[in-house]
Amino acid sequence: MANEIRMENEENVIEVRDLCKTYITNKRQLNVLRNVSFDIKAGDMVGVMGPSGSGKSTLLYSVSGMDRATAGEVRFCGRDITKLSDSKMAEIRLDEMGFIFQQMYMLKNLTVFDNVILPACQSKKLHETMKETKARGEELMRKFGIIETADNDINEVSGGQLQRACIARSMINKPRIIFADEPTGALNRSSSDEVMKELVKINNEGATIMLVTHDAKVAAKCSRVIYIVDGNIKGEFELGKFTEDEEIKDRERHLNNWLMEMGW
Amino acid sequence: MIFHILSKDLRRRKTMNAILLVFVIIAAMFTGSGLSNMVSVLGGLDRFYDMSNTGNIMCIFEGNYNENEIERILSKCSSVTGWNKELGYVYPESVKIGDEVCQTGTPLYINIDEAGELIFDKDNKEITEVDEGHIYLNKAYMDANHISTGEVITIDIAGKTFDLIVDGEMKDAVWGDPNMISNTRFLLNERDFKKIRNNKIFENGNWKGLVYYIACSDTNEVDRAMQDLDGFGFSGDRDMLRMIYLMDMMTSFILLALSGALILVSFVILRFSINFTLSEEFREIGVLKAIGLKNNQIRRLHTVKYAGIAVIGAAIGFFAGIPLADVLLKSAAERMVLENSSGIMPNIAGSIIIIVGIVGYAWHCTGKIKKFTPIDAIKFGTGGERFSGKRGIRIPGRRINTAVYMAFNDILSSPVRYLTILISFCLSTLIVLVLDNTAATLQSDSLMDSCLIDCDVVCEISSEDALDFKRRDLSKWVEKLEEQFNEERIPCDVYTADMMTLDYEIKGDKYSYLTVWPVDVPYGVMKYTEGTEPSNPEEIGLSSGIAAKLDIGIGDTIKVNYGKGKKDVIITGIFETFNNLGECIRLSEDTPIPMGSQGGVGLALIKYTDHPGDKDKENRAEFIRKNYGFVKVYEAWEFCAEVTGAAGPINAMKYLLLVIALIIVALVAVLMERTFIAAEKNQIALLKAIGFSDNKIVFWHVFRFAAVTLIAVLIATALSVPLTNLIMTPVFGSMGVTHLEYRYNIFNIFIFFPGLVLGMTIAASYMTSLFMKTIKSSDMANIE
Repeated sequence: MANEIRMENEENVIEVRDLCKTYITNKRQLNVLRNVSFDIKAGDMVGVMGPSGSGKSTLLYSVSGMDRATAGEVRFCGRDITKLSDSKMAEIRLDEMGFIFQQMYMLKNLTVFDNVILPACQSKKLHETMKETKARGEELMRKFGIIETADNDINEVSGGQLQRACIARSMINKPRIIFADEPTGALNRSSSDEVMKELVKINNEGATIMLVTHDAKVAAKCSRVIYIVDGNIKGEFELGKFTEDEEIKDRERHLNNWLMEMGW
Repeated sequence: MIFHILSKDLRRRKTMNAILLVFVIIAAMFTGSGLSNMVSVLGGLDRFYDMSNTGNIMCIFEGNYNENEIERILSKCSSVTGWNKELGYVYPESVKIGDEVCQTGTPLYINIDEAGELIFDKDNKEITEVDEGHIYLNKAYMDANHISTGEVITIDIAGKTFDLIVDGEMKDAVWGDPNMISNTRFLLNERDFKKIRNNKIFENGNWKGLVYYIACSDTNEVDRAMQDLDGFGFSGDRDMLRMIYLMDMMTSFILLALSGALILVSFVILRFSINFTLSEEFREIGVLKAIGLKNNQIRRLHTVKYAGIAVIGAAIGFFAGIPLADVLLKSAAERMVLENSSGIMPNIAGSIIIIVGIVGYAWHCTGKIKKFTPIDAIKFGTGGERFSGKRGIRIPGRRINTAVYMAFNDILSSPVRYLTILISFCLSTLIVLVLDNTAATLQSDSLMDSCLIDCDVVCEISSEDALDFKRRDLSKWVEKLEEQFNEERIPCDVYTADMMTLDYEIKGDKYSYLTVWPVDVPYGVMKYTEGTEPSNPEEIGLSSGIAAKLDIGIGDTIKVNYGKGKKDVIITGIFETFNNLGECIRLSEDTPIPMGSQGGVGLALIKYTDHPGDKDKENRAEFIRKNYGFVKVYEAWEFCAEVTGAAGPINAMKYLLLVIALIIVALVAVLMERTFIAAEKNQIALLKAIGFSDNKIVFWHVFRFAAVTLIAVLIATALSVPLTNLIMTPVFGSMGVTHLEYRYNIFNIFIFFPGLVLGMTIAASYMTSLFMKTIKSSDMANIE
């Protein structure tokens, strides 16, 4: 599996500089992001935390190009994506980025398996046959322990299984980075643990991940945590790579201490 | 509570409610005006006949009739309550505008002071006098011969000419259409009438006709009594004469058929709208049930909205339908004295039908609510999960366009939803195709092929020539014509027939019928729907109209008088004819008709024997037109179109319905696409998020419409053939033709009209789908 994720050590996959996002509502200007700057290196698993309304999700959507920044620069693998057209940005999202959302949203008329491989059917990046695509889809589903749900409709599987299918879908085009917006937010604790286990696993295999969460237990598994308040980065906390044999409680304790310092 | 829910619904589903309202308005409008038109035309026609003193049966006597004897017999008929009569003189091709002879319709010159049937002007006022040097003509004759009010026409009878100024259009109940009844009345001042009557050509009773309009309670009794009299030419009761106004009745029927289709489309949209609303409000319905509302209370909540739309739509449709009904009536009233006798009652009835239909159907559709339970709502009522539906198709084993795959998958997953589009578009296309097939048939040689002879050209012989032909001369003339054509490298057979009125005795009663005596027509060439062509003087062929009227058929024996006393003949064949209101008899070619008994020759029919193409046929017809002395030369299809005169109005109606069909298609496409976008907002956002471009998503949505529309128009094309047969056969049947071979304009029914519907669908769904550009991938954050 490791060879499926691009290894670009020491290379910044994402470089964010002075990123601003402003909404105008009822003639009122709302500055959701204010001159945010940070980098994400290849192989990083960056958690973004902050109180509700602090701009965590907006940051993720602006960095991933799903939302247009008002000002500032986002470089993806060295290329400024803030100036790209919608169709060019769509191409980049399809080929180079993977997405996991809080709601395990999938196309309702497709089976779980067809949902997983749909982005690969649309993409021309890998120049593979349909047979190869399907084989990779099966391999991913097997890896995440959901191969038995492949032929099911999406309303026939549990939330945890569905979210693992979403992770498989996010990886189907071998992206350079995976963006996850509260991936465990709609799951119970046991499903949440299963999903995080998979994310840590693929990160350890080389995947770069940017993850928004409000759960310190989830964030403790990230290599680095950015804390954001009122659209500003208030601090960053380096935790280092999480390994399966490492005791999570120590990381949680360190993180919680830091978060308390930040005013969590 | 109800108003709160309603106002919320009206805000949330503006487009869906607005389009449903538009359909209800259009359906109510057409139902009301269609009913109004039908009541006015069908009821009004009888009133028109009553006002005109037409009586219940009209009889024509020609030549040497005995007026006293006719009236003596009429007096003896127990069912006769009275009659009017008028004397007229007929002379074909006697009207000129400049040097141009008016060809359509044979004038029947009448003195206004002696007119038996009353005549009305275009303002429905009775015409009681005509100035000397002036004349009134009926509108159909004026239109057919391009004559305007105020224009001067020249009457030229056997070299005696004088001019008349056309004072205006007149409405003539019996003689109103020269295409359906070949004579047309010319209303003259007494002095001008005398100028005609004193012409030497009318001496000896030639070209003279006495018309009786008889009021009676039993038309069969009168018909039987009159047939026995000298000079009897023709009789027609109201049912037969009604056929003159077939086109006006057909307009009403087509309007009602359109109303039916529109009501059906409204129901289909209503069903879609209710199903969509219920699927969206699944959770709310569950909650309402959980807090104790009964099924019927929840159904009422949902039905109230549609009742409101039905009432508002029907009210607007009612008011919009009144002027539409007036316009339609005005068009029918150009030839008839018609008034909107039933007032607004048909429009009210149309609106009530719509309201009751929609509310009833809405209530029926909300029956689905009974199946929901509170648990279902809570368990399944979340966004993104399937409400119901079938499994679609799997991604195939080879690479295909993902948008195309998703489109087909959606259609197969929710077939009922797409059935709405299919039915609406199929019906809209069918209406137009059936009319196109009808127009194509009327503009083809099919009527000729089915009823008379398979020929290519029809040549009209001048009345003077027709009079001069004698049996032997006629045969030689045909042979000479064939030789001439062959010399001009036009290999062909020429057929003609002598036509006369002969006396028959059928089941003991006497009748006179127009009789056709073929000349140089080989056995088997003339068309028969049953039995065989008469092959000797002891055999005879009967039109289906006479056979049905007198309840006789093949194998029955009747008596005929060929001029040398009565003779028994056996009926061997039944044929159909659109001539003479469906009543005609055919003899075998070697029947011994005595010299001088012949009536005259009207047409020469030419059948090419070398099977030329359409262009060659056109060139040859033009050549014959220029080089031979026929009055008129038609290609067979032109002749059929001219005789029925219905192709033009049907074509006009076809294009009107095409516009309506395209509006329906556009409205349905907009409604459905807006609904799909609202329902699939989350899916669209997800696809954008994972990298599908706007164009790809637009293509996905438009392709779904295109695929379903393509299926709909293909079904419509396939159904148009049997449906044209089903709908139009009774209509043509009332003209006397039931075994008609329908013709189809392949380009129109396979490419042009389906293409227009498909194009309109793609355009409407594309324009609407652009609305999805307002959905952003970042909307994923707002999914519930």
